[in-house]
Formats: sequence, C-alpha cells, structure tokens
Amino acid sequence: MNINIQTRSSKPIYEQIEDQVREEIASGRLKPGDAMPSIRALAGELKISVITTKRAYADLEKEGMLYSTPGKGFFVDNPDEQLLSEKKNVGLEEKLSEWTKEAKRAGLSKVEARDMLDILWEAED
Amino acid sequence: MIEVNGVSFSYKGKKVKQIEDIDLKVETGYMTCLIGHNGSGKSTLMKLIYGCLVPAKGNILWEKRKLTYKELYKYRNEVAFVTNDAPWVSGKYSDTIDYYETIYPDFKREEFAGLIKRFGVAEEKLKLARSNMMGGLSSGEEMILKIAAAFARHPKYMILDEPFANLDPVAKIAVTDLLHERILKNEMGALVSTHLLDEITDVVDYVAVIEKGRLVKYADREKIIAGEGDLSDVLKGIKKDL
Repeated sequence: MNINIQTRSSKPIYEQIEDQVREEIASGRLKPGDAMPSIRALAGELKISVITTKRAYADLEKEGMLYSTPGKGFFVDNPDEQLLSEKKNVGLEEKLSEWTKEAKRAGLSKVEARDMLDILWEAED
Repeated sequence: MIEVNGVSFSYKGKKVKQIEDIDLKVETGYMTCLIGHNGSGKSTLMKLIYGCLVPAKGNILWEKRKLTYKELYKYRNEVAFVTNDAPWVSGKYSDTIDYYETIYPDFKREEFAGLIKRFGVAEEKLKLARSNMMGGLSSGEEMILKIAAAFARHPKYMILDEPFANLDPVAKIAVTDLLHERILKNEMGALVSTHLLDEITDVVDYVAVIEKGRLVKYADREKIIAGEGDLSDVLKGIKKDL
C-alpha cells in the first residue's frame, strides 16, 4: 500500500489517509480480507503520531471500509459497491467545488469553464 | 505508566503555588509535549515527576503505586531525566561513562558511542573530552551526550526538559526520530518540554499546556487541532495566547 501524505496541508492527515485507503479499496489494489499495516507500523512509515493513524482507521471502520479483530489488527472489509462509488464521488465533488471557486475568482465564465472541461476530457483519453 | 495525581507544589517561602492541581500521565507507547512560558512551571513539574521535589499535595503514581522515597532508586532505573539545568556529572567524560555502566545495567557503551555519532557529534570531539573535564564541549554537544546516554540506558520513561534548545537541525531530527521509533515499539513513554515545535509536531501524541502552574489544555493531538489546520500552527497560536 502506497500512502503519501503532506503534513503541512489544509487537509487533516487522517483525512488524507482515509481518502487514499478508500482509493486503494475502490481500485481493487486492496482486497477484502487484506491485512492493513498496524496503527503503529503505519505511524512509523509515515512518521506521524499513532493518534492520527488510529483516527483514520477508526473512521474507516465506522464507514465499513475496514474491520478490526482484537489482537489481530485491521483488515479490509467488503464495503458495498454503492458506498464505494458514493465515497469516490464525494472526493471528486469536493475537488470540483474547490476548482469552481478558484475559477470564479479568476474570472472564468461558466461557458469558459465548460469549454475547459470538454477539452481536457477529450485530451485525457 | 507514571501518573501525576492532583499535584501541587510551591517553593519554600513563596506563597504563590508553582504547580497547582495538575493531573498528567506519561504512558509507554506515547509522547506528550509540554509547552508553556518560562516560569510557567514546566521544569518544576518535571522535577516533581522525577522525584527531585516532593509534592505538597497529591502524589506521583508509578505503575499504579504511590512513589515513595524508598523506591526512588528503583524508579530512577526506569526513568531518565535530561535537563540543561544541571551539568551531567562533574568530572571527566570517561568517568561519567564508567559511572553509567556501573549503575545502569542496560547501558551499552558501544550504543552510546553510536548514538553520539548519529546525533552529529564527531568522535574526535569525544577524544578531546575524554581527557578533559566536560567543559571541552559546547552546551549543544553536552546535551547530545546527555540525551545519547539516556537512550543508551533503554529507559522505560524519558523526561526531557528543553532537549532541543541548543541542538542543530540534524541533531533535532535524529533525536526526534529515535524517540518516535522507541515510542512506536512501545518500548518507552516520553514527556518532552520544548519551545521548538517544528521537528516534533508531526509525532507528538498528546499536548499539555501549562500556564502559571496549571494545565490549561491537555488532550490528544486530534482534539487540540480539531479542524484548525495543523498542530504546529495551533501550538504557535496557543503560545501567542499565553
């Protein structure tokens, strides 16, 4: 599992971790039943506090992305398809909302914004 | 776990309490950062925890049992206290190392030498200090020696009073990394007081803010941050408020 975090970011570290774990699960790189690194191992890898990794795992468990067995650690759960796609879209919506704010500030019109999207959408294939 | 339980203390002749009604834990597997102005009571609190001072009210619990004078030497086998307030040991560096080897069974001389290098003090410097009094080294180098000796003892608890004050960035990062490493392995619990927060903010688990002898904030890092950006900004804000 490849997690990259930015410590001096406006997005809390635990959220960054959660986003990336969800991505890994949604993409299938993490499969149901896969063992997650322990809270302390992840904290060591990312050079952050265990409080943060504990928080990320706790949130993901509440969502149904992970489950935990006492003494054994955290494992990837079988989140439902709908939940996964909902979560994916929330991330995308947030990004789009931020971009929209910036675009408006830069003086872009809705038409110009749409044009930009059209061009980029075609290009990315 | 070391527990500070409702501890109050004032220095002789002073009416104002230096420490008032403090509850705090130092738990294996976690690092607590203690911040506060000079004179706020940080060092006094640490001396109370180490047993240099006796609480006027409340007590210190060591593994759930009240710390007593009789147990102090056993307690100090497990607890390392590093401070700038007192010289390490007076005398030659080599005598100090011999002393450490004698009184701390887990102290390894080779590990101590390795750590000094890791923290950025060259071997040549040590050779200088070997024959001289400790005065052959700068205050930063002396602090590195103290910290390295503490780590080389493999204590269960480390109480560090302004350990970063005279350290260069390389040493600060190296010390923080080793602290974090041992904390994550549940080998140790640490209480660190510091004004210099940048290197340590990412790995701090709990934050205790002391002002005029009282703990005005004490929570885990996520509660302290609570949506306000990152811990180093929050701590800088707290310092401004103090």
